[in-house]
Amino acid sequence: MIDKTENLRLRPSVSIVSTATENVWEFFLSNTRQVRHLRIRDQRLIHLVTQLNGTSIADLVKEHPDIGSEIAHLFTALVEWCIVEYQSVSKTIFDSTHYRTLNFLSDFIPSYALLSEQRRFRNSKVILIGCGGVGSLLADGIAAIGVGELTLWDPDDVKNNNLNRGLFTRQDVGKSKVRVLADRFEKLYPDLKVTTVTELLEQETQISRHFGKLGSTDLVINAADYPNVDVTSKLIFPTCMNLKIPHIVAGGSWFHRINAAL
Amino acid sequence: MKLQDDYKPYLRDGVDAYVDDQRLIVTFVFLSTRQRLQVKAEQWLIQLLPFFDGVHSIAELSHELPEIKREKLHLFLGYLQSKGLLVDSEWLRQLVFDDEYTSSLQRQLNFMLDILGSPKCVSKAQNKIQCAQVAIFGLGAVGSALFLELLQMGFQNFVLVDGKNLRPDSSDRHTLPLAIDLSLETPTSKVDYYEKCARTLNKNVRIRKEKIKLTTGTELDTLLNKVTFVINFADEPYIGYTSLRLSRYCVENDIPMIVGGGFDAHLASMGELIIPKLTPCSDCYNSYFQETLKNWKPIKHAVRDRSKGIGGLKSMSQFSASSVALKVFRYFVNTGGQATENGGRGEFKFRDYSIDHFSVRRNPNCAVCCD
Amino acid sequence: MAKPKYDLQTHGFEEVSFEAGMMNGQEYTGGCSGGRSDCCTRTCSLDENFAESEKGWEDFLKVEGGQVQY
Repeated sequence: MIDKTENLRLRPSVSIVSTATENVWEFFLSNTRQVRHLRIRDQRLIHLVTQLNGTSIADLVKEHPDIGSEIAHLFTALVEWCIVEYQSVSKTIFDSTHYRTLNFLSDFIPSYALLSEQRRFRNSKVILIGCGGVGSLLADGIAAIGVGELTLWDPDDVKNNNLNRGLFTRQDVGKSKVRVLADRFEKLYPDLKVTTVTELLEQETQISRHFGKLGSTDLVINAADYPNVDVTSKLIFPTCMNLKIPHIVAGGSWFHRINAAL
Repeated sequence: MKLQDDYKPYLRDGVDAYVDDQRLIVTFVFLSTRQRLQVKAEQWLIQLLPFFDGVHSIAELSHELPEIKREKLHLFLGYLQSKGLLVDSEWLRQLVFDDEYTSSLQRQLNFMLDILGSPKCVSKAQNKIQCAQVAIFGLGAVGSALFLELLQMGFQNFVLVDGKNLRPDSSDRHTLPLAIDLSLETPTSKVDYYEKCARTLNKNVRIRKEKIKLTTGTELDTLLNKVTFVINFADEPYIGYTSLRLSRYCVENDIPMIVGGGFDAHLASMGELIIPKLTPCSDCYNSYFQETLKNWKPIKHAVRDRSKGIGGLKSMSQFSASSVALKVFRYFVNTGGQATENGGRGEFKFRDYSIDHFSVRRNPNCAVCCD
Repeated sequence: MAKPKYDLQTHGFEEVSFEAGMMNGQEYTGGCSGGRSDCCTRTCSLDENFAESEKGWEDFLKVEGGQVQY
């Protein structure tokens, strides 16, 4: 529900462009490069949008009562479509060290829901199985988004021939991959809780046992390609299906070095 | 040249062989590149494949074969060798690089063998990489990730140009392989931090650090002295300005260049390779965009200070960095097909998970790159 | 065809289209609505840092056909 007394502003990453078609305007959301075209009958409406920098719907309606209904509908839609944001939320974003991530999320999470969605992220749990060339970078990317708990599962130590990809350095050779990542994330992402598992994954029962210990899980990612991704997926995914946990096979495994995740 | 009888053929790692017994076809699958080679052969030849294990010599394999079959065996082995399927089982150790360098690059070298077909070509290409002098302008989220990937590919000589420090919000998008306290009162400069990271990947790395910002007054002859490849991620004040400056210099001095992607509004774009006098230069791209964007004119924005209003994700920066790294790798491995008159830009679209690409041709009237 | 959520008659505006991604305005033709020709990256680069140095760079680069677009 949109608060009509909240001051609004046009999102800084949104551009408005006139088009060749009369009364049709392009709204370009530059973070995700989405484009929305709106036909707006009254020129005053588009003028109000382009000048929007700290006025509420209630105040706009008061100032322009003859188009009050259209203002209410339009600006409500613009908030829903992530073209316009609450100024109070933009201040929170500005003060955050994660302002880039929050601005990006704002391209598809309306302003009134952004902070509650951020809290939902912070309460979410992700399990990543496989922390090698793809998995280590994946772990970093997931941590940066702001999840609350990340379980890293990999039995291996860092070896010399791991150094041409992923997040490891020579100082890490001989050390457990998951411990290296956990130590690094402790400093970089102080709000993130990291759990590590170093068992070799050989049986499906290991999955259900660990998932049981970890409690509810929001997402499982399989980046484990030893002996191959078919084998590891067969071990992991039945439990995910039974427990109704969304799961992804990461790409970059043998024979599919540049495929995207499924 | 005919193989010697004491030669012990070794069907290399990273290739699987599938046999269709009915049609007598062997499919060799190169696991790194997904290439497939299908060969129809006589049954007795196919049955010898498991013995190409680096243990059995040609003499042993052809011991009880009639002369005509020995000839065929030699020809078959020569063919497999020409396709990069047979190598010396110790080929990695025989490369010109030191053991530490080779062992860290083992997977990449096997990958290159898939593409290049012979250890000699692999050695040559990796040597080019090792000796290249690469200048990277801008160590932001994308530039820093690209730098780390190039280190991991075995590049050893760099000029790093960036005048800024890491900040508390750097963890949002920068790749930070070494632990660092970003909240310190005395911040760490980006070039100092990434130099330190580099030494943890390769102790032989040579880096010239330039803690400066690229401006109209920057003296490029000194800055780019002995540089053989330039990569631009400097997007302040604007990627267009810095790219034009550098591209003009590179075209004049015949230095290949990449304009990296991942800048504002193109958070997962894939970068443009500029090979002087062969592909479009930055001025060609500028002409192209001036034409296509001539009717696209955004209204002046109501919010004046938009410095912290732009979005981004670490993964998208990594995507852009990796796509540039692959372009660099392809250039040095020289697989061909890249030096054409068409350039262009690719972009990953987050919303529907697709990749778009449009082409840009060389401008025949370009004052910079056309005679 | 399903009735759109917003229609011009009732609400004064309606959605014409929504696209997942745009390639540099290639699909776009439009009349001039302002004095400046800004591409999407320039728009997002417009902070005081940019504004101060813009003239200096434009003069230095001497690009034909107007402003630099990249």
